[in-house]
Amino acid sequence: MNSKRRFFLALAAALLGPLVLAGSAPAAADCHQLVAGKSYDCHLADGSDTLFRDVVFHPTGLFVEIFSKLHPCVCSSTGNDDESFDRESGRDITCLLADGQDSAFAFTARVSGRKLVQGTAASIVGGEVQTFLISCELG
Amino acid sequence: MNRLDTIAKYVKYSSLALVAAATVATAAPARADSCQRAAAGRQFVCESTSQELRQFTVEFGDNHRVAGVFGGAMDCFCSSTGTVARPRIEGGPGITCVATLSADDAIVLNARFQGNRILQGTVAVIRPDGPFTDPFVCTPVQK
Repeated sequence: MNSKRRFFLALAAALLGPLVLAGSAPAAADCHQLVAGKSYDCHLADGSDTLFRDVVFHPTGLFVEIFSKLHPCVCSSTGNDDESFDRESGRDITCLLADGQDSAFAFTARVSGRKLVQGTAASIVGGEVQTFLISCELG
Repeated sequence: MNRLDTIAKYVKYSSLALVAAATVATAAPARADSCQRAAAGRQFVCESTSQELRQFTVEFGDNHRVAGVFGGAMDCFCSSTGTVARPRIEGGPGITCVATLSADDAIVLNARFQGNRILQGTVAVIRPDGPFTDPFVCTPVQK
């Protein structure tokens, strides 16, 4: 093998290697698995920097316990079409606390390491939506 | 000398390729700006996997706050960026829409705007016996 050929092969391996490794990595956990059984402290940027301690997710990650009540959570999905859809396999989590009247509290965020980031909490009363940034870290 | 020329040429083209890749990578988040602008006044047709839903439309009002879905109105909000100290409330590309029917029944949509599409969507029908969820993606309806 001449030196030019060796050089190109080495360069190709260096450029493509990370892509091959990324492709063969095990499937990432979905948001339910990532939050399962974990407890977070959450800051609400509402002007007073309110702190909610102990936002606890159920061991299944399917529910969050707030005000001593379990509320359902769903994950984002992945895939771009019927062939590749992967139900609730994403890292964005949305939880809903509804009272059955005309008000609800919902929050959505992305699970990233020890944190819930890019979060918005929304208070919905009679069609009026008030939103806050919510940021959480493992308690 | 010939070999050095070849190496220099290859390094040059590799560098150009890397710069191009980096440009594309940094340009992508700019397209995925706040869902507020991406949603306002637009209509989307969405595809899911379930037989019940299969295809549905999402029609946003003049702003992103209200969406007409499944024949009813849903209250919507965007994901946020920034920090608690410097929040960009609803400055992110994620969108969540909620319609509550009763204490135990609700419909939730969450997804992410990317380019002119809505991707990574999950529609959840929340019932007392647990949520029914289905993935979806949406493309804009050309007017």
